[in-house]
Amino acid sequence: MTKIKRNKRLSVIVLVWLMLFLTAACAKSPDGTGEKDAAAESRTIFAMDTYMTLQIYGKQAKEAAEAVTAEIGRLERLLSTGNDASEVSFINREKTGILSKDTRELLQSSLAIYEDTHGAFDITVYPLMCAWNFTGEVPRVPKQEEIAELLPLVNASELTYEPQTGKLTLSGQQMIDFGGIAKGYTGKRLKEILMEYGISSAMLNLGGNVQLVGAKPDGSNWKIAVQSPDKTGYLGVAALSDCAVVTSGGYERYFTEQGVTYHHILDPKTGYPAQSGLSSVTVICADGTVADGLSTALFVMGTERAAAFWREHREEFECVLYTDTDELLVTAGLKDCFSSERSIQIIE
Amino acid sequence: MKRNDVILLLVILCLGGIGLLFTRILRNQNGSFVRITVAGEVYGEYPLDKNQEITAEHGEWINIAVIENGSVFMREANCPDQYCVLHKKITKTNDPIVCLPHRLVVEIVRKSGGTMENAKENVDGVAE
Repeated sequence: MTKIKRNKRLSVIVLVWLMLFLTAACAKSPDGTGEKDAAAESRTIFAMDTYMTLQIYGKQAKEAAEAVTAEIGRLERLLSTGNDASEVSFINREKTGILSKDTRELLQSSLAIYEDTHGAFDITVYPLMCAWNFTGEVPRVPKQEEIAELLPLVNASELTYEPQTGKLTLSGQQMIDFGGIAKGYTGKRLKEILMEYGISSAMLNLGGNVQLVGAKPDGSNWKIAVQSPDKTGYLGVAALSDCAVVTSGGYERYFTEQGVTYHHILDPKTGYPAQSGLSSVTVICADGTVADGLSTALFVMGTERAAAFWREHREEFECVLYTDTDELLVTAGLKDCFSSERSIQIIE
Repeated sequence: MKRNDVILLLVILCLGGIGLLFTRILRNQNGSFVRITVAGEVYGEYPLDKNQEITAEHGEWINIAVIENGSVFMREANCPDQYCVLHKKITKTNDPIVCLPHRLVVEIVRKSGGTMENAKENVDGVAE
């Protein structure tokens, strides 16, 4: 009799605990994110002088994340001007060399954008970047004579490139830097790798350069905000998928000397920070490399030239321009997917 | 059986209920937190609604973050470029203050039971 009683008691205890355990287990997924898509991988990486966040969704998300992390490291070793062993450093030192597959593609894209934008984007601006020490820790304003002396070196049309052999030769003391385009290219490469792993949904934020792969896992568009130059909010939000979104602004890297603020986007024509009346340019384009190069170029060109350039290339990209006088301009293709609390002028 | 068993059952249910309530409350600490990470590792998490100063030390690297009235900013850092100190106060998610030389990130994270996020902040990424 007592034995039966004890068993009953025991079974009640077991039952109650089991119930509690199950309830707790069911309630475990608190955020509703991640858990549902069993294979979601997010990572943060410090590379290429910036902070990167990767969000990858798909069955092979983990393997894909490993692969893209390795690729970021490989491209950084190849392209970094701060690393004496990089291919770019080798070219800058020897003034000639045979380019590898990646640098060939980067050079060709750079030269194409250089020509299209009439020199508003120029990879030979590097000696001036060094003079301003934007590449180092403490930037400074170079003497006027110093800028005048270096300015003739800034001319990508002086580069000699043989596409068949991949041989690049610099002219005189020229130096090159893919810094204005490397992150965009990296985004493009990473997208290719993710596709190889069957990933159809990912967001790669490479220090503010956003590369989207497909749509969000639920099929809706990604909502990508454009930072406002004063960093107090957003200029607006664009609903997008499967493209690159790159912003260039003078507000990211700058310094102040004797009351004057100098930002890091140099006008290749003057050798000084571009003063085009624009404070931020965002380019949306299927190709990350083009998005990156063009955002810099349009920033240097200013509103009028940028708008004219878009009209000639309206099939290739869209853009968001924000002026020093707080005007927000958006190209016609973004009319339906860009929203903002500010008043928007549409570039037709 | 009877009385003692019923009492036992009630006690167990009560304990269970309290336990469940407790975990619910813990998990549902709704609201915003400031998360500091160093080289990808979480250094600490601090409620955004409690004003305080946080000194994050990592070897010889020092960053002092200040939580003030629902915003965070970097008051001081011994990094060479000082970009993190120049960064404006942040109040939203998806807008981290990054100290590149120290590989330190200060960001606002939401912990909530679900979906009640401010629609304005409901963006997936920020191009900057």
